Amino acid sequence: MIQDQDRDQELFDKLVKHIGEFMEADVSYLTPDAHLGTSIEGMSSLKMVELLLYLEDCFGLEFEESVVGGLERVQDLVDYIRDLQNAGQQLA
Amino acid sequence: MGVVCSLGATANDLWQGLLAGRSGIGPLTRFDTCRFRSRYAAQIDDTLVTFPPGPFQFEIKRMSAFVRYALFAADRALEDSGLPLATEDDRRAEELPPDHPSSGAVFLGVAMGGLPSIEAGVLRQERKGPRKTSPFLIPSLIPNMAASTIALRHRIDGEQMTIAGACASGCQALGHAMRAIQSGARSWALAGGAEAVTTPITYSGFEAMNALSRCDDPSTTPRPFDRARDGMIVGEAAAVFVLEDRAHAEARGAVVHGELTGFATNSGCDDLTGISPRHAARCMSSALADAEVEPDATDCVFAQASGMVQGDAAEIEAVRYVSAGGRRKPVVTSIKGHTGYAFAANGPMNLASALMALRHQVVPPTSKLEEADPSFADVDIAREARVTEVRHCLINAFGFGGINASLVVSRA
Repeated sequence: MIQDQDRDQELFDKLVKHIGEFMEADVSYLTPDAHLGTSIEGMSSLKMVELLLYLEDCFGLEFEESVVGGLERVQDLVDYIRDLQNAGQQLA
Repeated sequence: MGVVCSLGATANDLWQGLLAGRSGIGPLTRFDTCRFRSRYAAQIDDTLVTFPPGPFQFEIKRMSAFVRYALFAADRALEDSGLPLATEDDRRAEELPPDHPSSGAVFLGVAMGGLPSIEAGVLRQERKGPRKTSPFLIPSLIPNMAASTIALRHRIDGEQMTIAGACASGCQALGHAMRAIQSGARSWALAGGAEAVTTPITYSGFEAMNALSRCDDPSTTPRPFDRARDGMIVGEAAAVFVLEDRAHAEARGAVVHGELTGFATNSGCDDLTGISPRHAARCMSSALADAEVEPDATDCVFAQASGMVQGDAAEIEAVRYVSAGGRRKPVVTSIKGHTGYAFAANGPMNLASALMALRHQVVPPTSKLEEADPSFADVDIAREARVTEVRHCLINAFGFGGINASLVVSRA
């Protein structure tokens, strides 16, 4: 359980770092409950699409458009990435 | 005025390069050229092209190069003009009231726009799949985006116009801006042209037309007016100017570099991609008539002259026709040996050079001209920088599809 929490925190930190890289801004103010569409300063609909492409490359994953469109909070994205990583490990 | 080209990022860099006979042409580094016969280009040093923080900073980085170069040149032109720029507070202000008089406008000439972005986008799509296409692909490549980013960054709320007239685009944009000011519709406008298409498909396309120089020594090509000329070299450039109503400029104590006194553009060619001497001559004559400048009062012609065999000959024939019967002939010069061929930016680059010639009373040399084509023997071509009285310059630009455009710029 503690391991899972550590892994989630690590994933959250990594995600915030990559969002900051993409936005070229300090986004350390983001919390797990922050809204992906409205909490990131300077975000737009086009930037969000490109951010998701960027995150796919960063994490070596391919997101399902139908799923990521419904993700609202940063934590939702953390959960989704974790699930994809777990699914990938099981397949491997 | 604002200029960015292979000779530098200021009008003074351009001028010093022209006078020194410096060539901005070198090995092409934007892609692997091993499959191409032409391996040179006049590339802009991207480390010089920077932007202060401002609106659309994120998007600008994703724009095709012509957009960034146009914006950079426009920034320099606005700085040079001393016009008050929109402040951050202005940008954050509420929308202007509906009765607020629109101030400036933007007229930009662009020929091939975001061709490098199109090519890269197609390759990415085919390699990685359609869903990996950036949402910024289309905004980055549409030709209007140069004028759009200039207008939006600087909160210029008059019209933004993009002219797609091939290699005459920039000249036409300047002419239309001049007309807008003459009509009283605008008191000032940013106008010019930009092009940056150093990408494989440009090279294969122009190689298929046998338009590119195959010379293997970048220090000797392109060679406008030379008997051994063998084609053009692709150049990147943007040149943008603040055009302003004289009374408006004088009222605010602006430094005036020169006066655009004449403009003409017409249509006609015998070949889809060739220059028609008679149509080109008519265009030049119309521009001179518009300026009320007699042909023999024209001191210098800043020619399109790219270093192509037929194009240079057609333009010289047109110049010969226009100046026939005059007591004195203009000196003819071409900057393409220094800067390469910058498509839509050709006319604006010529204008920047002409304004510097008017300021310094020097005609810049035609670089790399060693032995002039014998059939041009009756034409006075500037081989060296020439100190002379420069009052009126004729500027030419011609584009595929029979588009001809000429400007006359005179000492202020």
